[in-house]
Amino acid sequence: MKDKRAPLAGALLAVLIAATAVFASSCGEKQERKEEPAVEEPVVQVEVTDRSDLDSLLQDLDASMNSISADDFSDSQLSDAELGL
Amino acid sequence: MRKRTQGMVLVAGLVALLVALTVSPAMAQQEQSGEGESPLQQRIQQRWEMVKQRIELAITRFNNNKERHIKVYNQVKAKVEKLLQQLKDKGYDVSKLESDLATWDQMIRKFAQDYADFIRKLEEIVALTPEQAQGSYASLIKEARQMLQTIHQDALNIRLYYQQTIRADIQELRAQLPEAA
Repeated sequence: MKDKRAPLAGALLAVLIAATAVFASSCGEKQERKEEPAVEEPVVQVEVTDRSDLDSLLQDLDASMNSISADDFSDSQLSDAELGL
Repeated sequence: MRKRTQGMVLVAGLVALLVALTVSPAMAQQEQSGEGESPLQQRIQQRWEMVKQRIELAITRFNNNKERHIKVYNQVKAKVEKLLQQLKDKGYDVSKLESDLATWDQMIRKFAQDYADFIRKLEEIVALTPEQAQGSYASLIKEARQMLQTIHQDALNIRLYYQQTIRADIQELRAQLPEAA
């Protein structure tokens, strides 16, 4: 007598194989991503041979320091009003 | 007689199960909606949740600002170190800049440490229950504000030291360098 469950078992096996293949490929993808080289920190370029180079460097440093403000940590940042009290 | 007793036990068990199934969801709903609390307690709870959310927002904002500050300090420090090494290799006397840069580095480390302590204090406040907050919030927020003042001063000191010392050292070295060709 022919087993009626055979086609169902076959289908289940096929689904299982397909799921395994998809899972394996996704793992491989993740592995590949992991192997990608990390983004490197920009290399600091400073080349000073004369006064004009130093002037340019000072301008650059000043601009960096002026891009932030100590007021980012002023009292008002944690005032009652800021906390909705 | 024995059968009767068993029947009664079964009925009692079924009744108990029915009561449990009926009452438990109702109690859970009541707890969730805070129906068991007085209106005053509910208001305190709601208000505390709002304050906590504001503090969490402030922590996020402070963290972003701290990252920006540290990034800038490190960039400036790296460039000055490069300059220092180049001029040292060429035989210039960079001892003062070298020593002052080390001091500046210590100031940046102090800023980062004070900042970490400050955030820990804010997180301590956020972890309070409404009941604990009623007793501790005022003193803890006062401490946090004092710590914020220290950080503000640290950031001002770092900026001032750059302007008055590091920059001045570099300007002094400028005099030793040749004019542009």
